[in-house]
Amino acid sequence: MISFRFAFPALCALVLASGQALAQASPPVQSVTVAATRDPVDKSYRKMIKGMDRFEREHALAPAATLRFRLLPRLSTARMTGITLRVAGDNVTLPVAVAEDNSFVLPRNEQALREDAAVLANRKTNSMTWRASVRTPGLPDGVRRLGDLRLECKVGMDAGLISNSAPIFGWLSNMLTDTDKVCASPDGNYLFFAERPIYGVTLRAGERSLALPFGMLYAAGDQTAETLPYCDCQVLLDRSYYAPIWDPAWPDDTLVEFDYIDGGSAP
Amino acid sequence: MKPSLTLSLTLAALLALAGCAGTAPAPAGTVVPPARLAQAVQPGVTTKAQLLAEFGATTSIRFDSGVEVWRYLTPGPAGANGEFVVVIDPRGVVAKTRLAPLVYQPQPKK
Repeated sequence: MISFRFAFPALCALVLASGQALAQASPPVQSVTVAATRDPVDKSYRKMIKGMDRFEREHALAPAATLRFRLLPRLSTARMTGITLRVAGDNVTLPVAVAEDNSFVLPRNEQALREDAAVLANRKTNSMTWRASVRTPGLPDGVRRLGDLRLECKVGMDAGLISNSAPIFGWLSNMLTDTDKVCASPDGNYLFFAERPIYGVTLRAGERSLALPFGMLYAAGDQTAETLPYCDCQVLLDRSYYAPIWDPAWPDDTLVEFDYIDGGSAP
Repeated sequence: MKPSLTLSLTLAALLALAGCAGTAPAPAGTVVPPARLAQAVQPGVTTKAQLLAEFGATTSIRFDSGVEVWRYLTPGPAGANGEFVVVIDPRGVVAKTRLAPLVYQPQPKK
């Protein structure tokens, strides 16, 4: 049996020698300083690309629209200025430009896709709500188009943007969310957010118009202090609404008009 | 406890907690004839206290901003079929009102 008195120094020497050999065999590693908040919000780049693919496939829902993604506050303490985003894989990092309205376009990159990169923000996980933003140009201020919303639902679901559950139940959310079912069902309950607090939503298609009931605003109006933390609408409740994106009787060109609490309605 | 029962109970608990509570309908509100509402509820004038005194409590939601939205039901031939929505500002004064159907009715496709 080898005495520990002799073995330990020998073992240390061996470890040191191995380390030196390894260092000599590997190229010098560049150090990169990354400023990041611990536990940042991260989405799957692969899933978000899937959402972008869905936009391309179903672009006919909003033929003149472009796709961006948008960050919204989820906590009252969320800082929504100075947000930075990057796509981070094992060996690739891509900066993502964020506009003043906190929207952004995600670049396509094969390496990031192969490396199953994450989309990281310099914010904590539970501080932001993510949504797809499909906008047909030329609409009056504050008016949305139903086809745009339909495509937002499909892109948002495919992109894995929804976080309407406690993180521990994330796996369950994945099990229960099917894009086509959510976006095509009256019970899909995909939440949309107006730009400002609302008290009315009206659909208008030609001569037809319909005011949406209270039950389609404010996440059905039955959120409680206990359930709100698990909703994307946590600090956006007064801006939230469901749209009948599943009802084929309303064409894609249907306008969605808002009555704002702070004054003003769509023209 | 058998593993299958444990899994079922766990799954049931998780299902209860996961997701927004968006599928349950909003609770019913106080039923008031629309004419009475139109007469009694004046934006910029009527207060929350007056609404309570006149019609009693109803379905309401209060936002962090201090704004409240109250919903009254308006009667139809076969029960309540409409709603009268009142926005109350943080001072407790009615700011806006609107009428809407009580539930979303899928439209016949044209």
